[in-house]
Amino acid sequence: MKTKGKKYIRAVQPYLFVAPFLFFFVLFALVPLVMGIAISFTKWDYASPMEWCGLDNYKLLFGALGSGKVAKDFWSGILHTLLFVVVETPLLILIPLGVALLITKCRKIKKFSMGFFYFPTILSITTVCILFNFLLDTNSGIINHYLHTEIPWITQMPYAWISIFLLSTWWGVGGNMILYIAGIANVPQELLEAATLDGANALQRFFYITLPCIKRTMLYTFIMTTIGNFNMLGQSQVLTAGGPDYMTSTAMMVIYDTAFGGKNNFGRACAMSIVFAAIMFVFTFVGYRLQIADDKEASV
Amino acid sequence: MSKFKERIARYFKNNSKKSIAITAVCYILLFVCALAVVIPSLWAVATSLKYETDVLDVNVTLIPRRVTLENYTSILANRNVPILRWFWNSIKIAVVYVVLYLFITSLAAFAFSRLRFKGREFLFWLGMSSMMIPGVINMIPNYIIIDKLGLVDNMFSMIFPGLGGVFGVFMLRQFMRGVPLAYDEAAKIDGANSFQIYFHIVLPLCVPVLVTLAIFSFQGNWNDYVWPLIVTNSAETRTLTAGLATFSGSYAHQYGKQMAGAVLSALPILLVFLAGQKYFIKGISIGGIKG
Repeated sequence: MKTKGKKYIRAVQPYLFVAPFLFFFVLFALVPLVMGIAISFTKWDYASPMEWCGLDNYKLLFGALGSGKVAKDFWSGILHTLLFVVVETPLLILIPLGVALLITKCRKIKKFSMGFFYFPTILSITTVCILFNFLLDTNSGIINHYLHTEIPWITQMPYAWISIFLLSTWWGVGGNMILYIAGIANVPQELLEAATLDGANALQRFFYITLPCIKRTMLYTFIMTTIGNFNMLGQSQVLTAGGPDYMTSTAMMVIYDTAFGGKNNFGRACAMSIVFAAIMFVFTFVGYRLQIADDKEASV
Repeated sequence: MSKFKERIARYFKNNSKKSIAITAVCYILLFVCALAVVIPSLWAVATSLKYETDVLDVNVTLIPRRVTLENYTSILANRNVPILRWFWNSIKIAVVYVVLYLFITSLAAFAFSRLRFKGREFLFWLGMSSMMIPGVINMIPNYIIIDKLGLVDNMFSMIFPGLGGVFGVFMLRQFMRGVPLAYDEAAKIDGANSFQIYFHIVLPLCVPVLVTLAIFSFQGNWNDYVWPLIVTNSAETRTLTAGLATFSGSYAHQYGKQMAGAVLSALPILLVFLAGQKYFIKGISIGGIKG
C-alpha cells in the first residue's frame, strides 16, 4: 500500500512543480489568445451584449470599406510604427556597438563608464519624456538655446519624428551597450593577438574576429530591440500626443485609443491587434529563424 | 607625485606614438558621448532649483541665479500627483512580482529540465511557440479577465499577468540543464525528495542566472507603461511610470516643476541602481550571452 502511494506521488509530483506556472500561463497567455481571436469577429463595446459580426472588423481594415477613417488611422499608425522600427533599430544596434568599442578601448575607466552610460536606461519612459519635453521646448528649451534656433521640435513635422528618435536613442543606448561590452570581453584574446602578429590592422581584426564572435549577441539585441520598437507607445503618447495632426501616432496608440480611449470598441481593437501582430510576426520571425539556425550550428 | 610622473614616463616609453594617439582619441570621443548624457541631466537638476520666471528668462543660464526648493515642495503637496505614493506602488509591485516570478518559473524550469513526465515536451514546445506571438493580442482580453476577477485598481492586476511569461522558464531551464544530474542522484540516496533537491541543490547553483532574471523582470515591470494605465482608474493605485504620463500636462510650461518631478522620479531608482550596480551590470551581461 505504501509503495503504491509513493509511486502515485512520484507520478504527480512533476505536475505540481509546473502547476503554478501553467496556471498563469493558461490564464493570461493562452486563454487571452483564443479570446482575442474570438472577439475580433464581434461588435462589442463591453457594456452591451456581444454581437457576432463575422469579418466586418477585418473588412473595415482591408475590404471595400477599407478606405474609411478607421482604416486610414490604423494604416497610418502601422506605417509610422514601421518607420520607427526601420530607423530606430539600426540606431540602437550601431551606436551602442560604437560606444561599447570605445569603452572597451578605454580600459582605465571601463567599469565607471558602463554604469554611467547605462544611467538613462534605468529611467522610466515617462521621466525621459518629461525631460525631453523641456529640452525640446521651442522658447525655453536648451537645444534651441544652444543652437540659437527657434525650431518647434515637438509640434511640427519632420521635427516631431526627429525628437522621438533623439529621445529613444538617448534612452535606449545603455541596454544594448552593456550586452556588447560583455560580448566583446568574451572574444578570445589569443585570436586577436595571432591576427595582430599576422599583420591584421584594427579594422580587419574588428570585421574578421570581433564581429563574428559577437554575432550571437547582435542577433539577440536585434530581436529584442525590434520587438521593443514595434511596441512603441510612451514616446508618442507623452511627448508628442500623436501630433502634429496624428503624424506620430503608432499602431499601439491606435489600438489603445480604439479600445480604451472612450470609444470602447473592443471587437475592432482586437481585429487591429491581430493584423498588427501578424505584421510584427513576419519581421521577428526572420530573427528567430536566424537564431535557431545559429543555435544548431553552435550545438553541432 | 614623482611616482605618478614615473608611471607616465613608463607609459610613453612602452607604447608607440600611434597607439597613444589612438587611445587618446578614444578617450576624447567617449568624453563627448558622456556630455550627451550629462548635459540634459544637469539642466534638469538646475532647472528644478530655479524660480519659474528665471526658467523662462531669455538669457537663461545653467547655474541658477537664485536657488529655491519651491518646485519640490509644491509638487509634494499636490494631491493630484502623488509622486511618492506612485514610487511606493512601483517598488511594491515590482518586488512582489519579481519574487513570485522567480519562484514560479524556477519550479517549472526544474521540472522541465530534470523530471520525467507525460506531456513535458508538448508543454515546453507550447510555451516556446507562444513566445513568438506578439503580446499585443493579449492586451484587451487580459483587461477583460482582470476586470472579471475584480482586480481593476488592485496591485495584483499589475503582477499576475506577467507571471505567465515564458522567457524566465526558458532561461532557467537552459541553465539547469548544465547542473550535473549526479548531484540529484546523490541527494536522492541521502533521502531527499524532489522539492528538497530543487530548493537546496539546484536553486543555489542558479543564483547568477536568477539575479539576471530578477533584473530583467524588475525593469520590465517597472517600465511597463500601457498596462498600468489600462487596469487602474484612480491616480492612487498607479505606478510611477503610468502616473507620470499626464504630469507634463498638469504643469504645462512650468518647467521648474516638471523638472522637479523628473528628478524626484529618477532619484530613488538611481539610488537603487548605484547600490546594486555591480550585480546589475554583471547580471545583464550574463543575460546577453545565455539568452
